[in-house]
Amino acid sequence: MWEYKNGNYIVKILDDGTKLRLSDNPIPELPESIDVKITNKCNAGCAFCHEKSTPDGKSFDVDLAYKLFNDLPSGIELAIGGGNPLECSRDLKWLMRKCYYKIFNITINAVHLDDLDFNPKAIGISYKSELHDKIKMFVDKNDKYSQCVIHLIAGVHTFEDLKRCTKDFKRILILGYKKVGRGISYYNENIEKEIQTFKQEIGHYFNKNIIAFDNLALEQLDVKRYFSDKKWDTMYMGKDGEFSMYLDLVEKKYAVSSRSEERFDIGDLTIKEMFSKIRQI
Amino acid sequence: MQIRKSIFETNSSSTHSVVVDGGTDYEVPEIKEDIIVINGNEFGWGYEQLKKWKSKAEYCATYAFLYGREKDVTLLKQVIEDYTNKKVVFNVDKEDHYIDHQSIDSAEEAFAEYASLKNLIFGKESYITIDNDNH
Repeated sequence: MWEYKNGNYIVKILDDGTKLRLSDNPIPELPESIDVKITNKCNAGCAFCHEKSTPDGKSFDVDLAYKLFNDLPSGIELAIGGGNPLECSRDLKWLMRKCYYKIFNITINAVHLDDLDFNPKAIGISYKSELHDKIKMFVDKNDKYSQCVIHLIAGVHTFEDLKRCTKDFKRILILGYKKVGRGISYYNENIEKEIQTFKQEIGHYFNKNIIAFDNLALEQLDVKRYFSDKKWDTMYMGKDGEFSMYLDLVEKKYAVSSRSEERFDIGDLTIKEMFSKIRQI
Repeated sequence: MQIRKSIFETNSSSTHSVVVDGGTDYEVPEIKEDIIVINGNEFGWGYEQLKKWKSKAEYCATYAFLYGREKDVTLLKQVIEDYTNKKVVFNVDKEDHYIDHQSIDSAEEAFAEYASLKNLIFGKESYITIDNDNH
């Protein structure tokens, strides 16, 4: 279990990932989680990639990452992504060893599962239907070491994909469709149709699995309509930038989220100083 | 207090904002059709309690078309279409359908605003009681 004081409140994280924010009016000094981009290198070639990652993309400066993360309290979650973060495996493992008390979670595409040779606290797996059986074998084998969360994008993935995933996987994260990067030209009426199907049917799956949403998916699928205001207030962890921030260690920029057009130079700032600016936006 | 249940933050493109691990507060309708047809009905001879969303919607449609205002019809359509994300058409017959005068007030209050009408139709705890002069 992790526990730390953040501004005027306490954050507790249990071993299964449950996070408790112990306050009715929390005002954070630090982000509870940081979305960290460490590379723009990736050979998956996803047509919808909002990061526009390529096989010759640049990667991060691990010393800068260490400088930024070393002083953060134990319990702050670092959601490492790219590109394909396994392109920087050596540096990432070094960083995890040096900051062993931080919670490192990574997101990788299912096509790269074979390349993973270490155990982060949690693994987000970008789903590919043609690799379903392989993903299942991976999750069955690894979930006890690293919590596995299947990532689906409403519209890129179909509702049939979701139905199939709910049968085989306990934890699923549904992401909204990002009309940025290559996601702009990839968008079409079939994607919109799938998003609408997600919106119509998603309520039927709330009893069966642990299903999480990002803010964009909440908006696109109108998830709130299924819940009372009271329950929603307990479940909703805040809008992007309220308790979280985005760090692009490749371009050395920070922002509210990866969808933000407005980005700022990291320079010599600490995480606390960056987050203070994020909170003012 | 806010709680994120049973999952770590893995999202590398924005953050987990809501984790659902349990049931909803509102009924989740099982709808196969692309267009939902809400029929009118005869609501007069009780005693009866309407608990399913469709029967409550039929009652509300009967009320809105036969006893309500134009904006009640508009509100009803909007509430059901928003919640189900499907098109809605109504089929209420002025000759055959009715609500006993004892029961009309049940609907009238709910039509006061969007949230109360949604609660009446889709709320798991909400129901409409049908009654008549003989009870």
